Amino acid sequence: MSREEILNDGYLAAYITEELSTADAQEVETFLETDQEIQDEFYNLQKTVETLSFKYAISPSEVVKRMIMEDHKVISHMRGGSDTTGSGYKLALAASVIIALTSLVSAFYFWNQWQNTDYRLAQLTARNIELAESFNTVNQELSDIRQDLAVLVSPEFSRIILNGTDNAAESKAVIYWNPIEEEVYLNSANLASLPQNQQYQLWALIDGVPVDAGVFDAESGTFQIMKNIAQADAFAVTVEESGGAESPTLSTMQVYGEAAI
Amino acid sequence: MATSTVDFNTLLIKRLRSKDTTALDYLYDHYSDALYGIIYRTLNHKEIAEETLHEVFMKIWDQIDSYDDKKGTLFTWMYRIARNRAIDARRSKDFKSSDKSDDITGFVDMFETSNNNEDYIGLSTVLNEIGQMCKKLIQLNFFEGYSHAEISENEEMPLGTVKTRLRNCLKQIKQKLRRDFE
Repeated sequence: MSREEILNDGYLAAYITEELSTADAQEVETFLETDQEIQDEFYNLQKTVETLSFKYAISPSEVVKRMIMEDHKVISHMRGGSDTTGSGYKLALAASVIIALTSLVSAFYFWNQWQNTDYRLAQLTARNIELAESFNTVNQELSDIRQDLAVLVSPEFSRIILNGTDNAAESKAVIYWNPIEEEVYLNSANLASLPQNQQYQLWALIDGVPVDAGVFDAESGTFQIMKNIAQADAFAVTVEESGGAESPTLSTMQVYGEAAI
Repeated sequence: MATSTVDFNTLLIKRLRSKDTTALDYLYDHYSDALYGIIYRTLNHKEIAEETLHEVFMKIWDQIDSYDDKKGTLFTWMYRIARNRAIDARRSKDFKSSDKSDDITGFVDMFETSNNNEDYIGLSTVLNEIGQMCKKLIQLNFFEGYSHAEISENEEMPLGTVKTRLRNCLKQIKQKLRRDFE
């Protein structure tokens, strides 16, 4: 199976519920070891399932926790409780018992304190990491926006408006194209959202021949980075099956615009 | 990006592996409701579901050494144990003879009957946007332990479509949630 299949055909969701064959699961695991995008996608799916599970949680009876904590497999690991017997002078015995008890009590006290501190530290660490993470998110967004702005103000980029065809007169898309660096950015905020089994596909037309410039979903917010294009007379967007087509289905053309070079 | 709960969980896993019962106590308090939700919805039978939850936590306690973070988060690992145990319980002879049905008929939309957990991330709104079919597929597969094949047969939908749709539905939720954050 290919990367794209793993990302788009539900393999990762099926991996969460263990519904893949052993061979498929191994392939997914191989990709998970090295491929950052697949790792991120997998992490996001897991987090979504986790979020839903917490949202739709149900409380069991109180008694279940007691049954678990008192299960012999658990209780045998509870701390404390070892005792020894011996004989000797009564006084010495009494004294050593008192000393033992005192140290047992203080040992327990300090152990308890340590446990609490350990927990609190862990909680603070977790909160700290959460804060750092949201800082990173904001930082990332800021740098995304800076990047977008750089494209907008750069003299290297030409701005091409793609106007709606008869299929979608209201639609509009904007392309920022740098033919020297071959970079293509797309703003698809004014395209209608599509059913799940369809995606938009951008085409660059060179002497009337369409070249695939990448598939995308209508998204508001930042630009989408499309495939590199060095040469084009015009750009057009069609509606295709998810994953894109080899050649454009012209009857579905949504927007079209000529490159003024 | 995956660091938020990772470090805390690393500590938790370490303590579970050293058989620290306070860590189990914490784990139970934190995760039992979420896991019980999965088990209960798969079985629809309080006593058997609670017995299964007990078994699930014993398995977590016994087999924490086999947890492998390359194959998923701690929650995913526990989720798989809970889901599989509940499915096994549903297939068992005792369960079948207890006059409980194990087929999909009698479907009740769990998203409509949610308890009032805090909706701080706008999940309810998002779920209202993703459509009935998405909600049903997610509930059947992720919360009621039905396989792609079982869903495919019941919904008269090709197997591949079930798989792809589930993924798209989850992804939609994630994207919409992110949008609401922004």
